Formats: sequence, structure tokens, C-alpha cells
Amino acid sequence: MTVEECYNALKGDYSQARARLHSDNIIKKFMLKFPGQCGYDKLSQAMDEKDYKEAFVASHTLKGVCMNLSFTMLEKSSSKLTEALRDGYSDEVPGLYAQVQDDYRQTIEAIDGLQ
Amino acid sequence: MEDILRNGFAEQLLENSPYGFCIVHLELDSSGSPKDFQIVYANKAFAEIEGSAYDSFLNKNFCEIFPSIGEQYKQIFYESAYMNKVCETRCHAASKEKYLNVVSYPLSKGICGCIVRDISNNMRNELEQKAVIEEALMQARKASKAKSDFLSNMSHDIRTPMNAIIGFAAIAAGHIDKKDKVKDCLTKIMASSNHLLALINDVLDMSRIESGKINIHEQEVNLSELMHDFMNIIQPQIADKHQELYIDTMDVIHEDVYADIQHLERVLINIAGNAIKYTDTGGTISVRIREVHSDIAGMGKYIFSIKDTGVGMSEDFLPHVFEVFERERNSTISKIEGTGLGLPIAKNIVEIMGGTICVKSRKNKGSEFVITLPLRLQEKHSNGESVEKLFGLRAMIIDDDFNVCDSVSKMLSKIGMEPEWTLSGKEAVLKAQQAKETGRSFYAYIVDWKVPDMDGVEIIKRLRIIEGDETPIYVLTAYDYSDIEEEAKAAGVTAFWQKPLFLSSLRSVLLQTCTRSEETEPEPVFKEEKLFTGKKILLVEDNELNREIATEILMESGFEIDKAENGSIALEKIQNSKPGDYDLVLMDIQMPVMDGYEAAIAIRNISDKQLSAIPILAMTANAFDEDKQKAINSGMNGHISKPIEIEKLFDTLKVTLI
Repeated sequence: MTVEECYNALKGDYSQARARLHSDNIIKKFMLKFPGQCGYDKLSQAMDEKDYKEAFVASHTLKGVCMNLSFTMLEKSSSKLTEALRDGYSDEVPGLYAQVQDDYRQTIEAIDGLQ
Repeated sequence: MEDILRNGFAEQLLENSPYGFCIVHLELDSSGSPKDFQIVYANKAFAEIEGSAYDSFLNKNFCEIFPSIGEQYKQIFYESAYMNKVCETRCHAASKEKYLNVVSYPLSKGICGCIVRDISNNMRNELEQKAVIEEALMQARKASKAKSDFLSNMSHDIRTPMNAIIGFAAIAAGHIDKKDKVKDCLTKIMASSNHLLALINDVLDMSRIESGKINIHEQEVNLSELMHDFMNIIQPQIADKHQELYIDTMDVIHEDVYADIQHLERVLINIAGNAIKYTDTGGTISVRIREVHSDIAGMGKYIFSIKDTGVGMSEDFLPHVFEVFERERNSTISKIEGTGLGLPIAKNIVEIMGGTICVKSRKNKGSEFVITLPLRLQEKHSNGESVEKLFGLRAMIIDDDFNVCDSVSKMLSKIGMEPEWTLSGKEAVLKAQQAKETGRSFYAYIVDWKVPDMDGVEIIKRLRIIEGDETPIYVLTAYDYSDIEEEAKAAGVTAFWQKPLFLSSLRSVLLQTCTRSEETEPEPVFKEEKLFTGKKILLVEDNELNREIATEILMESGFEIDKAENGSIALEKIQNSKPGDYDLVLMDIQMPVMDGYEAAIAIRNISDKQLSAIPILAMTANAFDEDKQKAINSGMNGHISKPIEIEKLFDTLKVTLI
């Protein structure tokens, strides 16, 4: 799979990423690091422990990484979750988190195909 | 006890009392009315109160010396000396500036005693208070009368167009099949309706301002666009009255600000409208916008002045010019329509925006209104840099308005060119010829279309003969250039500017039409990569992946990067560095151990002045104003938003690093 095809699979903005990082090789390098270092693990741990303050920080980090890589779909859902968590737990949080989990899964699967 | 009373203490009591005492002997005339009196004894205090006058009347006939004052005292002395009464009165002392309270009491037939107190101070206060109250009463009456006058004027002013509307509607109805007649009536109805609406709006505005309901909505404004809009609106009015318009800018560096466009335009159009209204056919209107130094960071200070050669205002009226409902009362003014509300509304708007407005005027000479306004600056970097391609090139400005020659010269110098100017077309042509012959030709010409001694087309044709077709010749005009465009282009004009000319338009048009050959172009110092090569950035970001991506982007553009995982490590690195090790800190905000704000504050508190002054930019994910403000409050120089876009970074850096 090419980098561009991968971006289509995870619903990201390939041209924006190219404009920022200039080459497929570099983008690929970072994409392969994404699964372990994007902050999702911290987010899911915090949500399990109902530590919403930590969840906010982790969600914010995840959003930042997605912005840097133009992972638009996951960026949108993590952004919504971040805002909802800003003042602590609220009713919308579970639904928004479920969306982040789905989008993350799709993103990871796409990246797997890159190897 | 008896000793005290016997030893002359009673006399000493009187003599040394702080109150003035005296003994008065009153004479009657043959009909038994009081004739004159003498003061036969007085104590020290009395003498002091009366001052120098005392010596002149002691033991003398008082009324012969001070007849009018004597009159005031005669009656009470009579009542005390002959009618056994105790009297009290207030009157002037013989020494004129003082005012006395006098009590007289009977001593014996024809003789009375008198106690005198100096109440000059009290009197003065009383009189002052009375004056204040009278003044307030007069003001209240004046305001009330002004309102009644206004209401009756308004009724008349509203009735007139209203009658016209009704009248013309009736005429149209009566001639419904005559299309032309109906059209004519409708045109007149529209004119009257618009005028009526303007009147009503003015009144509503006034009441809104007086009840404090006016709102200022700040928007992004480009001053060049604002002034050109303003020009487009007033030009037809000026053309109608065949007046001349001079308009220019001076020292405007910051063209992008925040302001309430509608209200600002309203004020300018209102005042310009007055200038046009009160100036005769063939008169002159001059408008200038100037930027001056502002003490407050982030704010610019602008002076708008609008001058006319109209009827002016008398000295007496000037203090009232911004008062509601006030219009100068003379036959000329009463012929000119107006509500008397335009200026007070303008003043209120200007003051709500934090500015001031004042006016200079002389009867029959004209008036000048000056508005000073502080406006918040947008963060766009200023475009005051010199332009490589044009450096050192000569330019000639030909305009009969010295102010334009002056301000455009200044702008050209800022760009790096060598300007010269002349007020005469003939001189311009001569100078152009000379320059050519001495090998120092002018690179470009800026010509006003209406120079008195030579027609615009003529100037351009002659310059083209001397210079050929390549040399840029620009036309700068206050008027709508669409009228002259064809003619001018045929004569060989390169491009047009509409006045007022701003630095940004000058630069961009000059750059676009620059015909200087590429080979002679000197090494461009302002190429952006070269500007930042080797600059060392300390990147502070807690997430490893983000850190690596940011590092990648920054190194691509020539920066050298050192990294820190949180604010605390960043602080340590700065503290242990030497000045010059780092040129800039890019600081993320949300970090564990020590966040961005805390780190910035700590860095600013480092004792080494050079280290503590290092530029710090916040990397913000949101564009919230409070985050921007927090960044500034922690001592950071500014912010860039995430994710890092290299162009935005360069723009921000040009302001911070250079």
C-alpha cells in the first residue's frame, strides 16, 4: 500500500501532510511510530480508571499528533472528546469516546497495511 | 473679684476684644430725623477692621466723609440711640472690600454702642454659591429651550419631505397612465423618503447615544480599503459642487487594524459631508490620515483631519459646536439643511471609541476637524521594509499638492528609493531631460492627473518622448480614474493609484511593474531560508512523536534544534546556556512537571539579562483569546498555532527575531 492509499483508508488529508513533511518516506517513518506514541494508550488507561483529568490531557495529546499528521477523521473525534472532557466528565463523553475508539481502530488497521 | 472689676479690666475687656466695638453719637436735624453721626470711641479690633479709613472718620461727621455707607448705618443707629432698640444689619465697611455684620444697642439718649464683625469671607462664599445656582438655572433653561426649538425645527424638517411624498404620490395617482410623469414623481418620492429616513435615524441615534445603548463592534479593517470606500462616497458630492479634493496619508506604517467600520466611516462621512455642505462651489476639501507614535504596545494612534475653505464658524459659536441641537444662527446657515445632530453624534462615537475630536475655524476662512483615534493593530507584520529591486533608484513625483509630494517622498524613501518632487509639469519635463543627459535618469514617475500648468496627458506624452516606453509612469489621482483610464493608457501610463496612497499599494504596484533586469539584481538578502539558517531553537514538547515531527519540519528549513520534554528541563537548559546558544524557544503549553506558562515566567526571572530576554513563542492548539493573553502575561513574545506551518512560523518570527 502506498502512503497515499493509506491516508485514504484512514480518512486523512494526504496533500496537507505532504505539504508539511515534504516526502512519503518521512511521512511513513512517523506513521509507523504512531500506534505506540500517539497517546491513545494513556487515554484508554485513563478512561478505564475513570481518571477524567488524565483522559483530557491524553486526548489533547492524541489530537495534537493527529493534527501534525493530518489524520483528519481521528483528529475530529479526538478534538470533540477533548472539549467534552475539558471540565471533567459529562454525559456526552462515553459516546464521543466510543467514536474515538472506532476511528483509532480504523487508523491502526490502515497503518498496518503500510508495512 | 471686686478688684478685677475695679481695676479697669472692663475697659481692657473692650479695648482688647477681638470683636470691634465703637460708641456712636447720632445727631438729629430740626425735623427729628437722623442727620449725621460720629464715632467717638473705638477699640483696636474696630480700627483694624476699618483699616486706613479709621483715622479719617474718628470723631468726624461720618456721613460727610462716606455718604453712601453712612446712609446704611444711620437708620439702625437712630433706632438704637433714640428708640431703645437693638438692631442688626449687614453692609459694606468704609474700607471697601470688607463686608460687616453690625449690631447696635442703646447706651443713652443719642448714643449707642456698636459691635462689628468682619464677615467678608462668608459673604464671598454666599455670593459664589448664589452665582453657581444662578448659572445652573440658566443652563437648565437654555437646554429646555434648545429642546423645544429642536422639536419645532424637527417637526418642520420632517413635515417638509413628508408633504412632498404625499403630494407627489397624489400627483402620480392622478396621472397613472402617464409613465414619465409617474417616474418623475417616484424619483422625487424616493429622494424625500431617503432624506426623511436620515433625519429619523439621526434622532434615534442621538437618543440611543444619550441612553448609552450604542455598541462598538470591532472588525478587521484595512485602512487603505476604508479610505478608498470613503473616497467613493464623498466624490459624487464633491463633483456636484465642482469642489477640489486633496487627500493624502502621512507616515502610515500599520495599515491593518481592528475598528468598527460602520461607525468610523459614518463619522468621517458626516464630517466630510459638513465640509462639502458648508463650502461654496469651487472650494477645497482636504483630508489627511496620519499615523503617529503610540505609547501603548499593540495599539496604533491615528489622526484624521478634514479641512475646508467654507463659511467657517464664529468664535462665539465654536465652544458650542458639539452641543446637541446647536447650529450657528445666521442667514447662510439657516438656508443649509441640517438637524444639528450630526456633530454631537460624531463626537459621541469618537469618544466611545476612545478618541478625541476637536475643531479649528475662522469665519469665512473655513474649518478643520481633527479626530485622534487609538486603534488596535492586527498582527500582520509591517510592510515597511525596503525593496531590494528598487534600492537607490530615482523617482519623481509631480503634484500641485505639496502635502502629497511630501508624504509620497517619505514612502518612497522608506522603500529605499531616492525621491524628488516638483509642483510643476514643465519643471518635471525639464528635470527629466537633465537627468537623462547627466546619466542619472529617473527610474519612475508618479504624476497627479490635474497639475495646473500642464495637462496630465501632455506631461506623460512628453516624458515618454524623453524616456521611451519602458520607464514606469504612474498616475495618482483623487478622482475616479475610470473616466480618464482610456486616455491615459493611450498616452502611455503604466498603472493608476487612487488617492489616498498607502505604503502597501505603493510597494505592490511598484514591485509588479518593476522593469529592472534580472541580471543586475543584487543578492536577495531577504530570501527566507537564508534569513533563518543556523538559528537555534529550543523545542519544548512532551509527546515524543510530536517532538520528532516538529523537529523534522524545523530542520528542513535550516534551523538547528535542541529538545526538552517539559518546562522544567527547558528552564534548566536555558539557565545553563550561554547567551547565543539559543535564538528562540518554541514552548508547548500542556506539559507535565512544569507547563509552558510557568516555564516562561521562570525564564523571564533568570538573573542574566540576556538569557532572560530570549524570544519565546507559545505553541497553541486553540486560537482562544484568553490563551493568547495568558501567553503574553507569562512574558512570551507571541504564539504560533499547532500544527506547525512553516510559513506562519516565518511570518511570526520576522516580527520577533528581526
